[in-house]
Amino acid sequence: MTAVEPAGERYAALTAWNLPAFEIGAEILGSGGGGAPTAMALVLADLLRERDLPLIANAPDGTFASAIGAMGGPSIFAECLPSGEEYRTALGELEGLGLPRPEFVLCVEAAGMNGSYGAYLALHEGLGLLDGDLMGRALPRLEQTSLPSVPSMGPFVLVPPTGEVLLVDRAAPRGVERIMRAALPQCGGWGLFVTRPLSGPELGHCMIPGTVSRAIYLGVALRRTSAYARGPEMAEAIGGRLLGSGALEEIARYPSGGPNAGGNVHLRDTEGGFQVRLEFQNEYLLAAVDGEVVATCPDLLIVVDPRVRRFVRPEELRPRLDVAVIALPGPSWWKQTPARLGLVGPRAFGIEHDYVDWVAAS
Amino acid sequence: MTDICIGDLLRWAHSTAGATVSVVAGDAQSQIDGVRAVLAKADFAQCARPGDLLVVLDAPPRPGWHTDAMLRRCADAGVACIAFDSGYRLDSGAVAIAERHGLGVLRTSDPWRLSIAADRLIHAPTNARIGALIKTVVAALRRAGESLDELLATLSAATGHTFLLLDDDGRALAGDPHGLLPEDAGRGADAAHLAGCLVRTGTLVDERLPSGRRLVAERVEVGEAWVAALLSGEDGLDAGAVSVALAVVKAATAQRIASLHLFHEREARIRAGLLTEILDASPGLSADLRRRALEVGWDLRGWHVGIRILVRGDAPTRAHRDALLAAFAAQALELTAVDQNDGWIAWITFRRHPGQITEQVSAAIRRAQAAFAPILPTAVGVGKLMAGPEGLARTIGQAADAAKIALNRPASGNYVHVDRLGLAQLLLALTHTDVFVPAARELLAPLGPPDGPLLNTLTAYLDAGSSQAETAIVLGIHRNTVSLRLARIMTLLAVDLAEPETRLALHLACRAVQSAT
Repeated sequence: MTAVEPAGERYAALTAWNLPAFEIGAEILGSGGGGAPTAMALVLADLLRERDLPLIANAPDGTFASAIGAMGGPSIFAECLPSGEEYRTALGELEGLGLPRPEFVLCVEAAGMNGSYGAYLALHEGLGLLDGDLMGRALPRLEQTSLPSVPSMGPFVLVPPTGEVLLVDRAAPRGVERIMRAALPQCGGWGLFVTRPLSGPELGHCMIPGTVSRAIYLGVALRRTSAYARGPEMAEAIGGRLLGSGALEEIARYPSGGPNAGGNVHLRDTEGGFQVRLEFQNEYLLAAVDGEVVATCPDLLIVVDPRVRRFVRPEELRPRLDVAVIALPGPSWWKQTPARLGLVGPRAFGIEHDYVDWVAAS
Repeated sequence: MTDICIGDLLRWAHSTAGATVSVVAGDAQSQIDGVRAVLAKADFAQCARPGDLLVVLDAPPRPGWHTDAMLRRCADAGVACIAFDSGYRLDSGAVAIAERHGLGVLRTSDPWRLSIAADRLIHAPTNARIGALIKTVVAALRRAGESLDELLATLSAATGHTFLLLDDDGRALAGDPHGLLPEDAGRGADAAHLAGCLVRTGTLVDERLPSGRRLVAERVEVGEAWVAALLSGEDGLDAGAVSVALAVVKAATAQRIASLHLFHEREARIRAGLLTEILDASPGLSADLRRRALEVGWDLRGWHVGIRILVRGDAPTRAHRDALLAAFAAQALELTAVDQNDGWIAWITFRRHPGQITEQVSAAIRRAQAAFAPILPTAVGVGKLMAGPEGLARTIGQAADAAKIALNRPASGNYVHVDRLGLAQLLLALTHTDVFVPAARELLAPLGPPDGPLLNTLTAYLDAGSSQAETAIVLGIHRNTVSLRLARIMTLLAVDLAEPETRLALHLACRAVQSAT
């Protein structure tokens, strides 16, 4: 599927021209999660007017790159804006530990808000941006990265807006995730983080390549469709499959288990009369048509209001909203071994169902 | 394969287990072949078989993809129906999936009892159904009231079938009148069909009516009636059980009918005895007698017109009595009637002297008699208007004499009013001598046989006081026919009916000839 992994379709740079496409692509790769890229994209647009941001395939030998991102609640992020000094603080902290200074950055996920953030930092700090990430799409937890468990993810530096610096070392991604999640409520609810500098060869093994290009590609493909395009045309343009379209009926949000407990939503397809149900947490995770599970994470599920081309995130669902539900193949990196699928498949989110390989089946 | 559908299960679960069940999705007609009580936390779709009813005993997880998938798998496995606790709510998406894939969904107040009841219904033989139904019937009989309507209504409510009391014509005597034969076009067909098969078959009927409903009936030996049950549901699953239960219902119905019968018999005897005492007690009534009359609602003061009604043919019954009272009531006559072996002694009481309306009363009595005739032909004698208890005895005595005359006088419509025709009538009645009768026959021979139309017309005309109009009413023919016939009679006999002597002679001759035959 060329639309999925645009191996040949690499974009040389992120420019003021393709930024809107990148924004749309980041939404699609968000699969409903990752936070809204809009605010960061506005900042980015200003900087891109001055110069393009080249996309670099990998860090050359002898150079290093750090993965960066924000973790915590995206809604808190909007209320408590970053000062702009967080990354400088974090990088300085790594330097203080005697680690090499990275000349490149990559997004932990080139999706949602984090995608734009990586680009912003690269422009702002004069660093190179790698065309790749560690997730291939939006995923909610640090252990769901393509980094191996050994050597450790650390030193991992997190800088919350409250001014503290949190540093975790010698912990596997899973450990980092737990410690940081526990700490976040104590220091503002979100934080910007930087991983230890990763060498070029190391990234060659573990980076999911081309994710930024893929985002731009998806956005361009969608923007090429006519203004009157609805679900079927949009799905076709981005190489996805339309699962159904119609008005949302009921939205159930599970009360227990905190903000990520999730819920489900269903709609009746206007044409076929069948029922489409989506299960979600931060992202849309599973789609069932008339009780038959047709697509699951790590494949992408997007809910879009085709008339206004607005992507609807789980927290924005409301009854009677007219939407199209489209499934899109997720990063193939995650599907290559059962162990990887175990990290990002439905069971990783507490859904007792196997990954459904609808791409292979079709 | 069983022949049990979800509708049967709903009724059965309600009547035997007290579990209320409602249909959320699917068709009450779908068949159930087996029942399985399952736990939502186990993967029960795996063990489901086609035609199963799955009863989910525990609380399933909140609706979501998991519920959808479970319903879909059940539907694909051919499961007929799945039942949840009423406390569990499927969302519209899940219900839509069940509907789309032909899976029935039930809600029940008590899944455990529903599963037990369903298992009994499906696997236990008919005996269990009979046992359960009889238990229900007996419990209903115990709490039902005395009246037949109440009895049948209680049974209908308890079993879900409609219980009725029918006569031989298939008409409902008691029970829900709308249940059996609803007020539509199908009604006539059902009633006619029913009358046919009630007459044709002996004591037990099991019929499918033209409207599609099934009826089981059994004859009640006491009275000309049938107890019947109109089965709810199309296939009449319970027909066997209901026909057994009908035996119990029949016994209870017969007992009710018999005790009602006894009550009315006793009442009638008390009235008959009281009347005899009043008629015998002349001239003054004792205070005790007046009190007893008051107790049965008789007003002995005022003005009375005695009426003696003799039946021609079968002995009268209580039903006849009701019809008689109704016939008089239709003429605005409030009749007091006391049962006799050969009819009734009756009277009408006026608080004050009715004045000139006596004639109207007589005509009204006559109309009432005519209206009653299709039910039971009678001869009616009417006494004079008389006052007080003594007057009552006398007018009844006159009525009795008049009725005896009326019995032999079809020409007057078997009706004689003492007040109108007076003693002359009585005298005329006594002209039955051996000398007079042959002479009378000779005189009237030209008019043809004694029961011929001309002789009848002549008799009626003379009885009616030479009124052609009244003659026409009595004979039920047109007035012109009467005048034509009279003209022919005058020609044939060569007489003039305007002459009083001729009339008298002919009147006597007519009376003698017709009484003798």
